[in-house]
Amino acid sequence: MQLRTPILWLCGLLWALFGGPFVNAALAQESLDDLDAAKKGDSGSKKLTAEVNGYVDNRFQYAFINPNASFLSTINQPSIQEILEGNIQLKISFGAKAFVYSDVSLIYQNGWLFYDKDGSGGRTKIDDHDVATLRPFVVPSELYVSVSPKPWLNILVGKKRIIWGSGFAFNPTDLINPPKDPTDPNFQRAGQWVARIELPFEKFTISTLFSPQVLYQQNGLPFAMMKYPDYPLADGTKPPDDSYHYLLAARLYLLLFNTDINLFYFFSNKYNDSFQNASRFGASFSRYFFTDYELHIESLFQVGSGKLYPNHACANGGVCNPQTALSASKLEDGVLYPRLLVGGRTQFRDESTLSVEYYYQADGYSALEFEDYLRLASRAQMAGLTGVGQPTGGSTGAIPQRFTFDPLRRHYLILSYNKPKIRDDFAIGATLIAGLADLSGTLSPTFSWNAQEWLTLSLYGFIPIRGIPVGTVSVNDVNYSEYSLLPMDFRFLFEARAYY
Amino acid sequence: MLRFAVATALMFSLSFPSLAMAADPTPAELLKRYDQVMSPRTFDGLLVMVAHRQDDTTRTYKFRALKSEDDKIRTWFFEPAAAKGQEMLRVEDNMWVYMPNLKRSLRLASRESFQGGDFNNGDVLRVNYVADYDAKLSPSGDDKMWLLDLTAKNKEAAYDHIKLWMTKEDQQPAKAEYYAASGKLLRSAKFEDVKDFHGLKRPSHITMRNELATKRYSEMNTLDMKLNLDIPAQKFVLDDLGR
Repeated sequence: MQLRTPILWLCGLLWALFGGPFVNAALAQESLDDLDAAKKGDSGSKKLTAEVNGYVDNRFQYAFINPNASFLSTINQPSIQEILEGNIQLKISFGAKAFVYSDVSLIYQNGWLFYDKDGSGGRTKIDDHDVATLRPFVVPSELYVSVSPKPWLNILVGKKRIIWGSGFAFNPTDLINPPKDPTDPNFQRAGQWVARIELPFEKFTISTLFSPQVLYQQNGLPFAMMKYPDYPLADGTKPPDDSYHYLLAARLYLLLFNTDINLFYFFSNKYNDSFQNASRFGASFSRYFFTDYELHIESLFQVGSGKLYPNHACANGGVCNPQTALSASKLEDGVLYPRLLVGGRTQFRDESTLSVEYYYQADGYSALEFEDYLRLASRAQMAGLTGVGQPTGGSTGAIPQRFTFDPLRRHYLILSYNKPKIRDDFAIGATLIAGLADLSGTLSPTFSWNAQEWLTLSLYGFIPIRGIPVGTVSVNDVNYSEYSLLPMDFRFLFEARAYY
Repeated sequence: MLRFAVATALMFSLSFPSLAMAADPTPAELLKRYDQVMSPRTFDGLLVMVAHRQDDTTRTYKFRALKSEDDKIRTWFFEPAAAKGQEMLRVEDNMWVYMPNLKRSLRLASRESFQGGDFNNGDVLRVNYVADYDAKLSPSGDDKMWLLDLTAKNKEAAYDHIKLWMTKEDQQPAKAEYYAASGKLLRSAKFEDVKDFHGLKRPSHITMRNELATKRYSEMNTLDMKLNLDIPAQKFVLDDLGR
């Protein structure tokens, strides 16, 4: 909390340094000539102009930590968490054909009130302590230069969040960006470092993209990309890996019969997963039917799977190499594993919106694999092997998230409902994520109030649903479902976001 | 002599009925005139929408609108700060909104509310009444007005039925009522303050009243509008949103 004032000062300083000198023309927007004057000088020559906006966001969260809910460790899970974010979005235009854009967040965060098992089925408070993922940090969510020398040619270099698929809460073809939290879609803004060439035409667009994987970074800025350095880091670590980590992607977008159609091709080598020199294909579709009903389909096709699978012998007490207890054992099995998302969205007469999506991943765990996975985790107390409920980001150059949709099994349902104007500026909503194999899930109700044009106050809930004993897996006489692994009984979050 | 003159005049009018009615435009001509006034084929406009709500407070949106051909329009929002960076695009029957917070575009329906105000997306992004409505003239009850009864030709039209009053003197829209298929009155509009925008005279102020929540209404003010522009087709491409 002590950093609140410095962060506001820093936002002000950034504004004064980069925004203030440029915005005089942009502020006078009473006629089209004012707007055009911002792009051109009086003589019609190119002029450097800037637009600045952003927000200050405070999130205060309380979670009822339950160390006995699963075998995942809770010692680094704070009951109380404070996240204060100062965001500045600066766009500097060089005439009408080129601009530099940055979307940078300065984040102060901390957590308090930690609990662990007390050995008799209860919980005991442990001392507050340093947690690496709870330290303050800087996130350059986007930082790129965009040049359009011709109307049909755009070149972009830098860090940008590029989403091509049509999925609403989740995009199975998104192999590039840090994942977002489906229960809080505005939170994750970070993209990936890319070089992109795009050819936009009236009815189609061709995009090609190269993304080197960021291997090391500090304060959101990378210092090793694509290949590990030949020397060890200061802490002595040096992965035994001389390969290149990158992704190449090509995409064809078509607007045909009032339908958005995307065709994707990905070629990657050890880019965020274990695939080496691997090709993957994807497609997406989005269209309105019967005026008000949007339908979308998004799919990814890959041969083999980069997911980590449990070794059945290891999980059941057999002799095995611990290093292969959990490995990408289906990476080269030659089997096609499609991932498919089908969804729809509609707005009712009262302006409420309903979105329904079904997600299938063929490489998700079977019941036996899920059971083996739990046995392994239970035996080795391998907390952190799964992303379920664990904070992510921060060290990866993305905003740390409390929840990431990183599904273990095969069938999922995602429902989102939002009802604005229950009274002028008040809105309610809810997101349900349900694993259909065991009917566990999470429910996230939301209540928000646009108190001013520049201020939004929101209250979020997050409730794991683990009480339906269907399709659960028994480990050490305890029944587990996928979302019963979340080490909390509930969580609520109060957010105040002020835009400028 | 007088009888002869009357008979001649009568014969003349019977022989040339079209000349006798020349001052009366057809419903199709009036509809075409409405499109020309309210949505010229190409324009670059700066507009402000003020939404008045139930609690007597207001929300103000300032945006730029760029139109090309009959069915391409794009908007950029400058105010309020929470909406800055949002863009909307319509191409034929397709509409999208770019959300800077999500870093992506989403499809929209024509009948969804425009920024939560009392205009819907079709009112702003899809003004092409010749393509969307059949028109017939009805008694207006006012000697200075034409009354057009419009019926939707297709499901993409913003409303099922519209009553549109246009002035006889300069053929400007004056007021309108917008109905659901059930016949229920949804919204009503007043068109006022005709101004000259670089040679085009048109109402600069539209008040749209929500007839289902009668304390709510929205005003749309045109601050500036330029016409007859040569705009690259790439300005109306989905992938250009956010640039």
